[in-house]
Amino acid sequence: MERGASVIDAEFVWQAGDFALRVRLQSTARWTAVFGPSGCGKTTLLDCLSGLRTPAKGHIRLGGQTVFDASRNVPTRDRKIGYVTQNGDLFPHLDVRRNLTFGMREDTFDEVTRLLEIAPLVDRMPAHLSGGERQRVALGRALLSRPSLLLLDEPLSALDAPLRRRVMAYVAEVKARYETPCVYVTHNQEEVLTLADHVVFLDRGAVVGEGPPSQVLTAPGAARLGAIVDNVLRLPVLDSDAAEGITRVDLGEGQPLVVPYQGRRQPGDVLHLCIRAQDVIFARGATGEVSARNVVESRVVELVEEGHEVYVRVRCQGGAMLWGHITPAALHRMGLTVATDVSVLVKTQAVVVL
Amino acid sequence: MTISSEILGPILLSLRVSALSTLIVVPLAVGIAWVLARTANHGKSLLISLVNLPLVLPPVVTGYLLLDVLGRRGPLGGLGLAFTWWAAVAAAVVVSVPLAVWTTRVALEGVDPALENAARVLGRNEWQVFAEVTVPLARRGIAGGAVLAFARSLGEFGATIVVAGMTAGETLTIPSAVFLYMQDDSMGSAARALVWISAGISFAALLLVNATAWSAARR
Repeated sequence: MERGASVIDAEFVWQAGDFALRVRLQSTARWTAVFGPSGCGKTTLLDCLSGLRTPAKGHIRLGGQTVFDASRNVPTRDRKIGYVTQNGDLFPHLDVRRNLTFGMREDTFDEVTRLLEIAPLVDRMPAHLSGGERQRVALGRALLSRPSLLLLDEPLSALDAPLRRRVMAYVAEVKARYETPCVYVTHNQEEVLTLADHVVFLDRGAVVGEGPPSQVLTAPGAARLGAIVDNVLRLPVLDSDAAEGITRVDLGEGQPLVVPYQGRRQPGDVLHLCIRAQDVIFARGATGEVSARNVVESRVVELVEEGHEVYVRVRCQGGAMLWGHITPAALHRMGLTVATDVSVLVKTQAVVVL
Repeated sequence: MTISSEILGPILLSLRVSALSTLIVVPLAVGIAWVLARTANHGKSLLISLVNLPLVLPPVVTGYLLLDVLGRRGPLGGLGLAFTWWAAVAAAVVVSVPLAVWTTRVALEGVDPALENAARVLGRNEWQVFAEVTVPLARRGIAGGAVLAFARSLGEFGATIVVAGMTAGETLTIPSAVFLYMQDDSMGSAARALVWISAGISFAALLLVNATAWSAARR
């Protein structure tokens, strides 16, 4: 790939029945995350890029090369793509070694198996691999085909949370070690923040937003997408208290937010935090004694009603913005409108440090 | 020794006819089943009906139609196959194709298209995908279809006597021989021996099909 050329330059329409995917996408970022609710067309987008589905019209250029337009449709086998799906799609009749070498274009077998720590698995059959091993082998198989573009379709979504983090570390290692650009489909914010350079929001078949991860994920109106139910914050450490098992971070103007203890972090270090919108509790009037460590005076700045979901955005004392997810009944009972003063309650344990 | 050739002859002929029929039926059935399983076109029901026709036609009618094709004045008459053991093979093929297509189609439809796509992404063309992924993954169903085709070929009678006749040493298969010997009091024990041998072979074939299906289900 030439330097500076777009990794993806695509503008196309794909249609099936009532569903239409209209994509206009230009990204020079090396790793682009495609983010959105299920059914938004994420997998269809990848299938169009790989050639497994053919758009009705438009063009697709990958790494500066046209693979689809009005006069050309390069078959999947010639697009040099490494595709890893949710469950890996390993060939069940071949052992791990033959799966890995199935599409091998260059003998980097030892290097790849060492990187992903799958060398001890090569004589096993796929049926005898754990979920995490299976996904690492699938990733290795894709890398060994020396692709010009990696497509990862929710590669970690079938794994439980602790295992997902561990396999994510391997994916991050792949990103660090290989120049290969990647389109990464996920609905997990942590993966986006850790792995992506650029985020594309997809909703009901259309690109509804794009930009750098930390900006896009917390943009106003993001809650409208339904997929965004988390608050992602980058906040500096104030201090830590090992005895109490807490660390305080700065919500702005010295307003503290208590989070689980981060022993190795120094005051001033910036933490990536995630608070699920459903873990944000609102209160009006006197709150009395509550178990939540964080009670922060705030003001409602935005209300988004989407069917039976209500998202309330508040500006906390200090300036930080938070989304809370409540029911329409709670909205009406509390009489929340824009500019209402509320207290925001967040339990220490509800704050996840990424 | 005459008794043994009267029993052994039809057995060897039947095994030869059935083996050859199976060799022809399996690739044919895989091809037809692939078209049925992987394509969505409007000619599909026409193809299915045509393939399955021998299942519902009276065997004599199937034989008659085959004779029209293979007979001296038929389109393939020049090959001179009618009333030779090749005509028995043709009859066996026609009646066993529907069974083999059915099991093979179920097996091909059970192959996850995502695995075929994985092979395409890894640089394989359509033929390689079929040979390296689809067929190996459907191998148990294909093998089951082959055994069924063999068993059905072994039992073919109605169409065979019309298109191949019942010439001893040439076209006298096990079922034809049983039918012929039954009409001759002196051949009663030969008929009975063939009946038991035929039943034994068919039973063994069905056992094999079920054992394959069972081990496939356990995997």
